[in-house]
Amino acid sequence: MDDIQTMLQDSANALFGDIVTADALQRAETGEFLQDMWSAVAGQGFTLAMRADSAGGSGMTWAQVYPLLHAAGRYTVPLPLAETLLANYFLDVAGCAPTDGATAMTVAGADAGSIARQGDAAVISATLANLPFARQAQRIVVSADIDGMPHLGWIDPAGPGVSAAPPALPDGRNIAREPRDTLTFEHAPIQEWRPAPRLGRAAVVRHGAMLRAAQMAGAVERILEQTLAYAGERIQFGRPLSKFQAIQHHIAELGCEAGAVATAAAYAFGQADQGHADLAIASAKIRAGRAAGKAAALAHAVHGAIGFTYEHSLQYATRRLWSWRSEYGSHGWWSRRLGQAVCAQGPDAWWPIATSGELELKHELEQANG
Amino acid sequence: MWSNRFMPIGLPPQAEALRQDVRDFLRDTLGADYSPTCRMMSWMGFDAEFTRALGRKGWIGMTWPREYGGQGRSALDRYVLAEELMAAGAPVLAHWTADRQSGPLILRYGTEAQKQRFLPPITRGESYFCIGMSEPDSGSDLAATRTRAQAVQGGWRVNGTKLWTTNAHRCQWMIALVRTTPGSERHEGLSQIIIDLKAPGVTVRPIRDLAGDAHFNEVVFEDVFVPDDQLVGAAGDGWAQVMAELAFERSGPERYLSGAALLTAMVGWAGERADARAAEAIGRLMADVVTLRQMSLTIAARLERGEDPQVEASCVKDLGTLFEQALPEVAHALFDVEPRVAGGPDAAQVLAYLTQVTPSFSLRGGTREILRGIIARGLGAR
Repeated sequence: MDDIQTMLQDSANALFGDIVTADALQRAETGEFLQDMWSAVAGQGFTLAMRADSAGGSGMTWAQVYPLLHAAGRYTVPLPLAETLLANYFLDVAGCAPTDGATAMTVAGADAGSIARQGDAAVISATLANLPFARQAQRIVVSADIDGMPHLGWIDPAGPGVSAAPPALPDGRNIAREPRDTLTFEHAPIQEWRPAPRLGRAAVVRHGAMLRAAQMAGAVERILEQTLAYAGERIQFGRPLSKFQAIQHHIAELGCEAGAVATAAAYAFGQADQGHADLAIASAKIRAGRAAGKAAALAHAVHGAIGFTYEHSLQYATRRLWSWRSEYGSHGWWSRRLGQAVCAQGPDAWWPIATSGELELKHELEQANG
Repeated sequence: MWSNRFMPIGLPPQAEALRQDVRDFLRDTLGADYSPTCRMMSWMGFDAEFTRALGRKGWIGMTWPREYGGQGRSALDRYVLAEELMAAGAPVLAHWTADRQSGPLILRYGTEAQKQRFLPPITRGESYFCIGMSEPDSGSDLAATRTRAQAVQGGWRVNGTKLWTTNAHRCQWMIALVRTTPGSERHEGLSQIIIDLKAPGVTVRPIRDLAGDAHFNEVVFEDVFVPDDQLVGAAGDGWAQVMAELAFERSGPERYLSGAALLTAMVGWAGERADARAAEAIGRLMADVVTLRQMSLTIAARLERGEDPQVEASCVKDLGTLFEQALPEVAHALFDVEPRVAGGPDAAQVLAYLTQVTPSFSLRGGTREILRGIIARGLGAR
């Protein structure tokens, strides 16, 4: 890791370790937006890490911010940090006016057909599902491909034409009880709507998956640490669990999963800076998705019944792993797309693809409902 | 933090430039006749002529100093060479052990005279080494080594038996782990010595494996004289030297690419318009390839920096062999192909071969169970 990565890793882990308490997590799960925690996170400049220096951000690369997302996953930060960081990056890339770092945001992809031009402005009429933290967001950044050209703008969720939908299900939450909202837009105005050649629907899925992979790497790291600690303390049959070979092998498998997910996620962030990251992102989300179930099962096996209680902190990370693995494409969803793209190039192509990292999944991702 | 040990590295431009040279060489040298049934042997394929051709290119011991026949290139250059050889299923067995671990061992612990004597012939592709670790009563429990070397005038007299020694029947030299301190126990009193397998008192018996091949051997030593100057490193340091050597053995691309020929066959069966089931399986395997490759590369870079990533290397081997062993299972689940050891399409023979040999993948180079113990202890469980 370079100096910037180390510094960011240290500061993020120190802050999150301090403020993400069990009490805070439980309050977030009841639906409270943790304003104090959000102010502390935004105060560190974390939400603006990817925005250019010239626009008041930190101008970091994806590789440099990887440790921040890993730390957010490791401490199960119950806030739209990844979403706001991504939204700020998209707004910056598209040349939209910069926001205050404390403006909470989320990002959505939309169908071209849902967007209509009205003079210089654009309006959207659609139901968008699975929006992370939308009820807590002050802006919903939206991207769509209009006649092959990616466009981007943002919607004020408190503005006209926006409502929670369907009304019978106003309170969508994932397994970790993080808000996952469905919103209906009726001729809702999109602000600063403009062409944004590098973005579009595919970019929403791609970057969302990459961010979740890093958070999942952090969450697997966390449950590995908890499992090691518990196995060292818990005495059964007169000795610590960690003395038993069966338990050691669970721990070893968990360690392997943690190493694999971290490698795949960090590789994806590095490739994103090079501009050809589809193979790496697909691999990271697939590998993380597969590790999520296995790692959580191993950690729970070692923890026994206490780890199955709400009181024990293991579940904050395992419930997020069970949630995040299906967001922005499950491992099956990504595997089908990656497999189709690899097979389409014939039997001898898989190795050159693996070594060059070059594989375009744009078409597959534009068909996404992610 | 554990995951900090797995930060991926990028390959430098000269390593990528080498990749194209290697691909051109493999295309010209192996040619179109090099069939899937040759490629499926992977690094168990033996071809002395191919090894000498690699030697002429300077591609054996390429990281070693020029004074010993090497090219002074980086470990990442060697990594690219190694992964291209594996992906092509090139027949590298003759020199593989020497290039991967015997040479580096001699370079690290050997005397100047040993380096000058043993390394240049390895780089020319003329001198092959095997590893004498396992014994009849010492498999995973390596510290139970009983083969003894008794100090005699001018050297050592060796008695004992090594077992499962890959390629011994074609090698001139074995680097053996032997007990040099009489009466010593477990990890103490062990040393590594270079034994001439043509010396009087050495008997090499090939052992047929279940696939009908004879890659590994029983090697019996009866009063075999080994001169003093063939002791590697310090007498009594054998255990530590062996452990360091194993990081080289456990993390390379051969730990996940031994089944490359079968993955190629599977993509062929899936077809260019793969259905959802096949695509999902191939995509999952591809994600494993990408991830394992980055893990393996990271360890190569750390070895180059002089670090000792034994635990991480064990992770690569465990995950890598799980991947390799899954290949025939996935193939049988997806495709209606009956394996054939003779007759039938090449791909059916590849499936038959890999189905038979995959059990050995989590035995050679340290069993899965031993590796998991190493990983758990490395993580702090004890």
